[in-house]
Amino acid sequence: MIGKWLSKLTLVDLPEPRRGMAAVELSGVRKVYVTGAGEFAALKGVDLKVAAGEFVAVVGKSGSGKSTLINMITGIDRPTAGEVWVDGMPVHTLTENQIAVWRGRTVGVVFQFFQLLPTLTALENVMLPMDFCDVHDPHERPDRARQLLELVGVGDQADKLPANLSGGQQQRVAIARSLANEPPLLVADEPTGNLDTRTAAAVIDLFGELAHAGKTILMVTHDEDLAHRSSRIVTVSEGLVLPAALPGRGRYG
Amino acid sequence: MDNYVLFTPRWRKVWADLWGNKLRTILVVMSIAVGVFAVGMVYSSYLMFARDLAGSWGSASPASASLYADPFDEELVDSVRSLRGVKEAEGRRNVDLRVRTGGGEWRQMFLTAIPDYAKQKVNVVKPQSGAWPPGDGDVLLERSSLAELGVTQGGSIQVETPSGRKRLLKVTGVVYDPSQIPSIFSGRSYGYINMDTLEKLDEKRRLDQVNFIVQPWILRGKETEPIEAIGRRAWTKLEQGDTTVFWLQVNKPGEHPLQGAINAMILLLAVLGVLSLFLGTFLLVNTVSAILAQQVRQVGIMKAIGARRDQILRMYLTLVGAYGILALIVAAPLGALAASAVTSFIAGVFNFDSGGLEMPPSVLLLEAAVAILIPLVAAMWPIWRGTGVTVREAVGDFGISGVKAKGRIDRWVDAGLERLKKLPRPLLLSLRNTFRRKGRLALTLLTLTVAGTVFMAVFSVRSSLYSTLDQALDYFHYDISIGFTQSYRASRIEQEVMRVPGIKAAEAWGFTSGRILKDERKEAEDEASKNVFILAPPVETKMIQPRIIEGRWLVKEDESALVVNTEALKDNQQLKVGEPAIIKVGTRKLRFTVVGIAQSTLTGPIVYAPYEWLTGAVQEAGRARSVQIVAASSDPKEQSALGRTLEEHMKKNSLRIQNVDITWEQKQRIRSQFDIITTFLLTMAVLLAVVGALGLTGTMGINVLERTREIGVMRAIGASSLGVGKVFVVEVLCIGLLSWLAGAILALPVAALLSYQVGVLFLQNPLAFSFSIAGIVIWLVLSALLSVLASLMPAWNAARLSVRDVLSYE
Ligand SMILES: Nc1ncnc2c1ncn2[C@@H]1O[C@H](COP(=O)(O)OP(=O)(O)OP(=O)(O)O)[C@@H](O)[C@H]1O
Ligand SMILES: [Mg+2]
Repeated sequence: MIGKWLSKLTLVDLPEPRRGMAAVELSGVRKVYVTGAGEFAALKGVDLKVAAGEFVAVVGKSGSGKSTLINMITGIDRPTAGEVWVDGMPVHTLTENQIAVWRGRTVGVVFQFFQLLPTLTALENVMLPMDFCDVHDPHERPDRARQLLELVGVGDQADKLPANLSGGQQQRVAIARSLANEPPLLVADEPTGNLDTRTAAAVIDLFGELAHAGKTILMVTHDEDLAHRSSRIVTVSEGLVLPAALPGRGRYG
Repeated sequence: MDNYVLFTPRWRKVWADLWGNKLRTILVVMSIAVGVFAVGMVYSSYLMFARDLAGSWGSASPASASLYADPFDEELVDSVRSLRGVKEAEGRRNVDLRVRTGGGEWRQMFLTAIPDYAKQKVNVVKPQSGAWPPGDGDVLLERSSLAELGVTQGGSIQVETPSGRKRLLKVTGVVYDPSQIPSIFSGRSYGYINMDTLEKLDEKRRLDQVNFIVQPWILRGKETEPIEAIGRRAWTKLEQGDTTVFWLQVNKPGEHPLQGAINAMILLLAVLGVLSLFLGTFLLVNTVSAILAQQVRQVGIMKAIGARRDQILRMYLTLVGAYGILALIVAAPLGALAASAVTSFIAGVFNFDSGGLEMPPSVLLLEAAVAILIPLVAAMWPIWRGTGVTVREAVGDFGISGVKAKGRIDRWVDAGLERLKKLPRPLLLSLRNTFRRKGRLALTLLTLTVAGTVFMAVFSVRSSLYSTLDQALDYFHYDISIGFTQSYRASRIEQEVMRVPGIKAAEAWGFTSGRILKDERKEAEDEASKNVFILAPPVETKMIQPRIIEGRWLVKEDESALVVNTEALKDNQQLKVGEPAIIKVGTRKLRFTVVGIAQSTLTGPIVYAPYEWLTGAVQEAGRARSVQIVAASSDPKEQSALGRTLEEHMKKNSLRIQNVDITWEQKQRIRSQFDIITTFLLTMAVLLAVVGALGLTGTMGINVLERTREIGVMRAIGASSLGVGKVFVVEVLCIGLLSWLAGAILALPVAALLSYQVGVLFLQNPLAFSFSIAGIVIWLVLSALLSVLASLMPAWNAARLSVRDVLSYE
């Protein structure tokens, strides 16, 4: 009974996506933080278009607004002004619950730090999004999760708890999890931040392959070399996206 | 291998939270179980009382009223039975005599002769073991008197007839008399004999008591007036049969004679139940908030990968529900066990048959509601709030928020801590953190404060009981009181008493009983009015010291003056200082003027009149029916022996003795009655202390968990295990001390209220309030002790954490 009441209370219906739009489209996005010291504009009117299948590296100085920018795209944060469209979905208009449902099915999110639920095994962590969003047949879920773990190269760690995995292994499990519901868009905030160069390169290679397979990928990174292995580099500076200087220089162009 | 279909990852997480953190699960389950246990215990003991007491007592067909008179014959009983409105009447004979206990002391005993044991209709006495009915020269003892008398079936008792002859009676069996006030309360032993045995005791085969039951249609709810009206007609009937009636005892319909005392116990139990429930709920809210605070990140991650709020809500509500079910499994059997223990304890004290354990569905239902619904409702708010965090808040939260000074209280605390600069830095930080988490601190303080308040209040109720007792006993300035079956010349009584060695003073008093009438009208004689004892001491007596609360005590010049005690006043609201009072004594109507009101002192309804005037008014001038004696020795043993010597001396000189009361024995008996309730109160206090300690342990455990990082940093900068542990012990001591302070302040009004209620229920009079300083000191020591104990385990855990543990934490 309580359950019914709860679902009614938080009923979610997503609006029909608008057709013919880019994978990610931001227009005039501003983000103002109100702090004790006054207002602070982290984003000052960002316009950005990402086509489906692009592998975008977001770079910029620390504090320039990179995380803020991609949080707008994943719906983790809301713009103060402007519009955020992801694959035809007006993210800026959705409620918190609509965002959760939408994100669960269409966006894979990878954070820099704390990622996995400590009490679940790697496999269970990967299955969790399928469970929450009711994607795939329940019988198939363990196998799919195992396949994803194989894909990121930690298939043999499936039944370990996160505490027993290395930082890089955890990061890969998190990437596998972000792919669990086969989202068309993958957003990662410094996914290689605490990985060694070789592991980081392997992760980027994986992203490249995924982009090749048709996924749109946005990745924040501080690493110049890694950024250059993407198909496009977006530079953020003082809350603004700088005009593209050298498009198509990336390896996966 | 694993079935992920039935048991999906999110339920695995719930399971892991439940099973993986056993310490926390135990704490939460215990905090719920405390409430479930208490509520279950109280409710099922209440049901068992209601069932067993009503069953036991009702099965005896208790009398609506009893009349006591001078000996009469069976025909008079028939005339009472034939009265309109009387359903059943039965005559009995009571012999009030002295009996020698197994220990060699002489005590008061009530031997009841029943004409036909097979045809009992009112106040039915039932066989328990041994012979039935009693044979000639045999006695059956009431079961509650066995211990008192120190004899067993097959033995014999020595009694002394009012004329001073000793007789041996064989104890051939044990009976159960549900309508009799148990020995522990009345201080008397009860025995049952047949009519033939009466002659052996120098008594005629006649009756002196009529018990009757009224027709149900006479009754108006619990009112006693309709019964009294019939009682008075029966009284007249007996008097027409040429016997003197001296007492009409009316019972409240459907109520056990000790209902008040039982209600007092139930009240205390209910207070205990409700409090435990409250405390348990506070603890639960505290723990659930902490669990969610601890899992903010996990909530954030789940949301980031697509979990809706209601899905997460459901997970945590399920977790709480699971805690509740576990608590129910633990607490329900314990509650039932405790309930049957409580019931059999009370059944023993109040002498009724406990019908054994019964778990009606209503108890289980209530327990289930307390175990599952209340936690769910209580946890709703923390869970709702906890699951409301946005992903950005959750992932951006590094656990340092909330340490910044936010309001006036924070700044005030900081300023306070500044002054304690001498304390080590980590300790100061830790204390500051305690005060920053105001919600948790408030709940923990509340829990401990409530526990402490009641603990201290209970001590005050206890000391109020004792000071009421002391006040009451202060009234008695005599050591021995002897009552006679008839009046003798006062000078003769005093002379005889003074001839016994070891007597310091003796004073003969007039003594009689009567009924206070509403007014002068003839009809008033038939109206409801209660019996009172009339004591007629010499006005300048030093033998008693009544506390006058209005008007004055008797003086030499008084003629028809009357001092009324508060107990008598309760039944006769019309009595006021300066106004007339009419008392019917025997067939005479005496007119008095009320001059004062005295505090009643557990001695029943009493009025005092000047000796000279009263004895004159009842045509017994210069005579007395009782004598109060002050012994030369203050040693209780010697006083008892003196009582015995006096008794024998009087009998030898053919003064017929009704009763000999040794004041200290009487005091002892009242004390032991009080001990029943104080034992109860103390048990309650201990239970509450346990609940408080549980709460504190829980909070500290959670504090440690939450501050794992902080501990790690402390260790990383070189704090020793001892140092880390000490921080938590000091912190918990602070909480303990604060709650003690708050509790001590609150205890005063709570104690006053509780004392009042217990007094009214147990003694029909508010207690003389006395605040127990001892209780405050005991709780101070206890709460400090409990605090340290409660912090030991968490502190130990904290001290054991290595830097590596901390860094891999989360
Ligand atoms: N919740 C907040 N409140 C106030 N200011 C914020 C908040 N979050 C971010 N900022 C500010 O907005 C600016 C942009 O922050 P953002 O996290 O987007 O930077 P970033 O480019 O991701 O930096 P880094 O590379 O260090 O992660 C910073 O100056 C930061 O101080
Ligand atoms: Mg960032």
